[in-house]
Amino acid sequence: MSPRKGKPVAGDVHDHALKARAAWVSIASNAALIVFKLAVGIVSGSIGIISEALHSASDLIASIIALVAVRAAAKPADPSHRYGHEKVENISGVVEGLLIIAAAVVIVYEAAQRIAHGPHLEHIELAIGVMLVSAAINLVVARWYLSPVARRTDSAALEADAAHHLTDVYTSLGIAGGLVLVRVTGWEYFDPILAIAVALLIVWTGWRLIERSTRVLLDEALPDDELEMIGEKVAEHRGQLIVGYHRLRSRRAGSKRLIDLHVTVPDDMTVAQAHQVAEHIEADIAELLPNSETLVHVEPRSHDPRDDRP
Amino acid sequence: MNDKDDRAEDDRLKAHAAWVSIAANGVLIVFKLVVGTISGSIGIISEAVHSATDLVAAVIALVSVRQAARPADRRHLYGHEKVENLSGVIEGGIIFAAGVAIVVEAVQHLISGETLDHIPLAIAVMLVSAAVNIGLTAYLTRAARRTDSPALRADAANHLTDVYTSLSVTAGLVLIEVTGRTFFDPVLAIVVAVLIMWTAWRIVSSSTRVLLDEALPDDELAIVRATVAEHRGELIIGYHKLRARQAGAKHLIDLHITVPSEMTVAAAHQIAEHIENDIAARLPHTEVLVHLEPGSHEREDES
Repeated sequence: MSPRKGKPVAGDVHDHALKARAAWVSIASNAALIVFKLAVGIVSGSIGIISEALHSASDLIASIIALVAVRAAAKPADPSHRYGHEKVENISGVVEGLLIIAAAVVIVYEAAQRIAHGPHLEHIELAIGVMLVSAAINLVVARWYLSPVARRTDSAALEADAAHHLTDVYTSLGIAGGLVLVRVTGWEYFDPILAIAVALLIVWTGWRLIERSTRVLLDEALPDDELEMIGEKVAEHRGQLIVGYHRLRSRRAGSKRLIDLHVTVPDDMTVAQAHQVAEHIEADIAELLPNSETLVHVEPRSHDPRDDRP
Repeated sequence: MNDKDDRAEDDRLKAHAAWVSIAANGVLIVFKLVVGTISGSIGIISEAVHSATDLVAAVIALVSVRQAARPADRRHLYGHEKVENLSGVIEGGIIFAAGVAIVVEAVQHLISGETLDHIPLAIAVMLVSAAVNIGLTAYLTRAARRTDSPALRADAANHLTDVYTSLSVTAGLVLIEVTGRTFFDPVLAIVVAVLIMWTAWRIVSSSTRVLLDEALPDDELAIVRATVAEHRGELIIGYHKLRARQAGAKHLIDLHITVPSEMTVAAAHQIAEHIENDIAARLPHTEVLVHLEPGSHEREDES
């Protein structure tokens, strides 16, 4: 999440392509897992492994949502969305969070049924193998691909998708661990108990995703360190051309940052000069924080900032 | 300021309306539980559960109008109004879930062909429930319109769907009494469920559009444009990059205004303030931010 140095504007188009490709990789890996689980499940006749394919299908839906979101977010501002479409990414974060929680509920429900009816496990070694392969693929995709791209492009949708893949790693490892314990001890209840433990763990991940996306949807301010950087940058202009600044507001939309502030200048400065100062400040902030849009409201020094509404 | 007093009064009205909704649902729960327990009708008791989910929705509406009323703080400099739109999404989700639950129950009834008891009593309970919800919907709709509150609008829509359900259940029960065929009840329930899910979708989509910073409706944008255009010619050359969005009942607008390059900032700012005040006067609960740009009269402006 830390701001990236470099050419902000030039990175834009490249970022969109990078994000879309990452979303496609996520879709491909989930599709591969579905085929793999279905094939092993059908060959071995294990209902458990076939139902795991169903779980991957829900992951596939989530990664399609991420793709749709990054593509929609990339669309330029239009007459009905003058601030851009970036917030679609934050909405997709909420949806991914809900899907993770739904997956957890299904896991708990299934585990509870297995406890109630008495667990009956078969193909244990094979299931352990499938779970480990699934965990490995998800781990690689999430940690070495989706997360870095999400961080680089500051993409909320990819960040959510990466978090989703990581929850799949936890569930697969949890189930594999449960099966190993069953194999070693012969006590079959280890399977549902570990499944429930893992489900509770991923509810937390889902909730955090929803919370973080919601904050952006509610126009929460940028993190304090970024605000401080902006403040310092604006203050550099103080004295020479501007008298001061106030009402610095900021919010996010997907990977974009939207900033506005009031800048005070001498009363008799011309609009042409003042606009140059304003543009300079806007450019400085854009250099500091990539993907940011700043709007400066120029005010004469004689104007009492307390008159500003609200 | 006048606008501030208006705002405070609206906030009070909104909280009051949310409390009325909570009270009405509380009364309905007690009523259905009492009748259900005395008569031993599971159907009526399950209706009390339905009112309980409405109570939860009403509490969400209250929490959100109270949160939305908080003044802007350091972490939320654009205010807290979007909490109302978020509550709209949640309320839509609850309504949708109610629709799904009705379908599931109706299908189960269709399969089991279950016989119904206490039909006259159930009809009476449904009619009372419908009457209460009609009154509540009318009240909430008026309050929502006056205060422009998405949370109250969603709550009103929720209670309107309750009116539909109660009336359709009543109609189904009457048809059963008359014809003796029990399938009327679940079939009507499914029809209403579809209607309910449609309402839910509309609430979710309208709230989501605000969360995505969609522009104001065209008629409101036209007011803003007309107001700015009045200043054109005499003092300002033109305007462009007009952007507008909503947060709860609040409108947030920003635009670029072109003035002669040689004009002083003091003079230009006065014009900007004038425009800001004019817009705020015609569009209640509005915050405008003007960005000044130097220009000459030759430059074409677009909006």
